[in-house]
Amino acid sequence: MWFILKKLRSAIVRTSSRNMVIALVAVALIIVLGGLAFAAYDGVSWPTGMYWAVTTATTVGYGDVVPKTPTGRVIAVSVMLTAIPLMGYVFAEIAALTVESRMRRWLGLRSVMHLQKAVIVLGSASWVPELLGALSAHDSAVVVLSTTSPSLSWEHVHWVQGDPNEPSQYAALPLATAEAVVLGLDSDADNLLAAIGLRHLFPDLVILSMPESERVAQALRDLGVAVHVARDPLLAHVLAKSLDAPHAGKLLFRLLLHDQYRIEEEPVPANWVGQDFARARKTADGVCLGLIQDQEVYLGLDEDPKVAQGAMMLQLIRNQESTKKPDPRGKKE
Amino acid sequence: MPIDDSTWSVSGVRVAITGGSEGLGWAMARALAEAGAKVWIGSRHLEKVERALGQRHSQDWELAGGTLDVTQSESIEQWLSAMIGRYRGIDVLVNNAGLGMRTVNPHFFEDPMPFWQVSESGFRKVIETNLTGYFLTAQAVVPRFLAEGRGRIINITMNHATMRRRGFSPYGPSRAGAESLSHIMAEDLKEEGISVNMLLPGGATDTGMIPESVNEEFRRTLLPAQIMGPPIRFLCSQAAAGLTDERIVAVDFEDWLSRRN
Repeated sequence: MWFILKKLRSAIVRTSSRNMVIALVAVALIIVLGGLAFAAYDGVSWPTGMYWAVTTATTVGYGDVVPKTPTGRVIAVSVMLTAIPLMGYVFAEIAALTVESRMRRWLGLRSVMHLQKAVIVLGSASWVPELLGALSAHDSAVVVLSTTSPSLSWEHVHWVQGDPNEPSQYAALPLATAEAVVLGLDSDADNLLAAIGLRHLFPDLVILSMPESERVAQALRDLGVAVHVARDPLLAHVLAKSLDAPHAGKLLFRLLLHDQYRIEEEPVPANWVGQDFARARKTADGVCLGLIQDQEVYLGLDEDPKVAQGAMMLQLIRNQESTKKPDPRGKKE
Repeated sequence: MPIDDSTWSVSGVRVAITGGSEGLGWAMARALAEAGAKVWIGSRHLEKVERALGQRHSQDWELAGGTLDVTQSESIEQWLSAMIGRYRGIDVLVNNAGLGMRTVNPHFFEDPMPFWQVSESGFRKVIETNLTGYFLTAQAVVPRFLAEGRGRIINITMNHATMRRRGFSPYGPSRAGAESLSHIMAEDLKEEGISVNMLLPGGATDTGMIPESVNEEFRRTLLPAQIMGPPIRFLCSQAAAGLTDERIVAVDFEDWLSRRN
């Protein structure tokens, strides 16, 4: 069914509407001329002749007006052989156009504004295809605003063509209901400008970014953009660490990218509050990697803060054990 | 001897198939996805990818993909990056995307076109896809394989007779070139733990490469595309570990296996 509709759609795109206008004019001419000729040669009034031509061209053919003379029959055959196929073409074209407009609505070609909780990606930085691939494994809708097509597609990925450096283009994005916006423009400067524009329009929007430099990271943080790490220092430190511990980088990847478990942020259990973190974590179910409070992350090795009210913990969780947010990939494990 | 495929587990194996939305590519994608592999398909046309994904028999199949033009290295890079993003890696590349004779001569069965009548653009287009495309895609994937110290490339090819058939220019030369390239790739990668093998159906196959105009009698002699299923599962499984520079003909696969055992 889907395939047929697709076929239809591409057929419509190819067919120019000019052809349809020509066909419509031709049908009208045949009906008028055929109706008049029929009236003249078969001895009926011209309105009856017109009526006969229309019932014939539309293949209704009631049979209340029929040709009686040989000339009348010749006219009838000519009208049938020319008007009926053209009429069929016109009807098919109208039906196809209706289908096309519906298809466009279904496919969201006109608008992505109806998408709720979409992840919006601005730009086409080199890492965007990989990000899209990773997002495609989840169920949430993804909207990409970029000048060139992401040349990748899944059911949940929508492309809006436009200049992501241009805040006026944001009007085409479902920002008000977005889950988050990811800044994927080519340079730190572009991302910073985009962040300023977005923050101005939507003060509460979740904006994610991975700037290259630590200075831009700080500027973005001041704007309330979630910057967890800057890319250049991250790379440098992973590489430097690899000199002492060659597998440190792999460990990081393993923590972040494993199929079977993932890292989650959860509120600490109520009985931890007031305790030393290093002691409290021993009672945690599973692996508690760290504590988050006052916007800082504590590993609980040398610094061992007292757990405050409202603190969160970073937990390493096996996918099937989680009850909070079942991972869509978890179903197959 | 019926093929015992229970020993060939491909569960979780991440396979990229160029031209995986129809024909032999789709037959292989289906066979692998059905057996639990994570399959990533590419096609020049988005509608074809979507259509293929719409034909999943089960929602449990790990099957996804994106648009891919194997003649453009940028497109290949994006396609692979997205696969890495989704599956976090790649284990097997199946070079399958190809243009058939139809693109040059729609009536190549009834009316073979001698080489001097083949258009320059038609010749270049087929070579660019069937030969350069294999090269570019493998070139993009191999650094990732080298970093892992393992990986497999499977190049889809054709009968030798097809490479010499009258009127089969440029399809024949493009496949012959890809076959030579496969041997060289296998040699180049021999020390690296990366295997390169060839797989071919072993006869004309019922795919979009065959013109619709061929008569019913001929159509009945065509091999079903599904013939690629068992050998591709074998080549992606542990059973084919260490196997390299082989040329496996799908119609003779059972014989080949029994000779091997």
